[in-house]
Amino acid sequence: MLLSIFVVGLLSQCPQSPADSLIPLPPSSGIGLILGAQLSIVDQESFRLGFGPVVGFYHFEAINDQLAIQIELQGKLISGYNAVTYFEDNTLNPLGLSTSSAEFHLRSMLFLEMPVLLKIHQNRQARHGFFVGARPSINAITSHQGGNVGISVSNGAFPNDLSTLSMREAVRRFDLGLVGGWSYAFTRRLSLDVRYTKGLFDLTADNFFKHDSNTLNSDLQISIRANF
Amino acid sequence: MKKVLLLSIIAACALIACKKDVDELLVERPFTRDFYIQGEWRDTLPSTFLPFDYTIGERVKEPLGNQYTCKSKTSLANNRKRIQGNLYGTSNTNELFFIRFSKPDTDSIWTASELKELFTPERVFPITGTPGEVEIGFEIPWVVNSYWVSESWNAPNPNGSVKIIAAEDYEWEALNGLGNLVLHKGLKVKLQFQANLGRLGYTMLQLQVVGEAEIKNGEASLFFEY
Repeated sequence: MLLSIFVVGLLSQCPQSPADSLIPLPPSSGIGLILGAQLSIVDQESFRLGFGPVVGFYHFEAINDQLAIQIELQGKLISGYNAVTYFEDNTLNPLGLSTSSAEFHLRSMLFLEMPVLLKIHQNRQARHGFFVGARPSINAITSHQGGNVGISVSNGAFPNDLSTLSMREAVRRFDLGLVGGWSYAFTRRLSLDVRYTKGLFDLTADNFFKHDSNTLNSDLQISIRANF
Repeated sequence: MKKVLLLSIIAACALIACKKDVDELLVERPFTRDFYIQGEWRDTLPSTFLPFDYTIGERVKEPLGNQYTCKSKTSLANNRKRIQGNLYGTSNTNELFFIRFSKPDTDSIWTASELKELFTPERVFPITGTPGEVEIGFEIPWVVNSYWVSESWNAPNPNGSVKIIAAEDYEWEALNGLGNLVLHKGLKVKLQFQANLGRLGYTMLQLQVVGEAEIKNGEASLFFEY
């Protein structure tokens, strides 16, 4: 609600659109398809970016001539994460050393997102619009990317079996983000959408990946939307 | 004013990322250097002192998987019972180093109290060549397939000492060859040593003392079992 107030304020600062920028009256409710791409910050410290597709669909419902609610369901794949962690456990006695080790790599993640947006137009025929909202998501690692898991016993004493560690436990399953963006309607059924989403939760467990940096589901997204 | 407040709230929300931790992680224990033998050795003159450092648990050499290990052994000889800490490398039977203590007895069993008395901190054992005193053996490195351990008792000029620095109770459990869990109890003893050694070599096809090697600034942490 606070965000919507903020964006309504922004909108009020926009210049009036010329008459020829109006589109034929779009439907007051409906569903549509999303096809686009997103650029994500996969490493906050080095500001490394990952690129990936976004697909989904949405449902919109006009509240009045200026406001509409839009609920989306979209999936996106982000590659380029480089979170690596290594575990080692040793047991030593006079007869030697036994070692177990496990190494994990987080390279890519799949996000199933459901942004809930409040869209604001000057009127329903305006080409330009703004929107804000919240974006819950379900997060999954694309595979259990563990490597070099091993145990070597030489002295009759067994170290902890680190192969039982699960990277799945170290990656947050649910996430929430804040969305803000702009849309432009080419026609009453086709529009362009540009948005930035800021993830609010660190996706990776700091004590597992042995770092204190944040891995966020934040991205800049551009998509084409077609409604029916 | 309200807009500024709203902007501040939004910025704060956007900047603060809630952290995540895994509830329970398996214990990770680093490799610790509990048992070792180090010092400097010198072959028969003319030669210079070279360092040596054997750490129990480290690999002897790549690509072999053998580690340096140490074992406590007891024996009887000449109406004396002996206990020695042996260091092994590639071979599990030919020691690279040993240090041997003894006392008059007809039973090879050492009790905890006997070992604690033997390894009293600050106690110094001289090496003078007298039978029954502490002995040190050291395989001169880099002599291919020699397995010749040069020992302090047969040095041409026996001289040296062993000093007990610290002794603490130490026990460990391990599966034996039959798969049974065995508890080993004893003392972890830290000591310092220096000694002349009878350097072995072949002369006229006979293995005998051909000179004197020397070991100095020696320090060891070894396990002695009771």
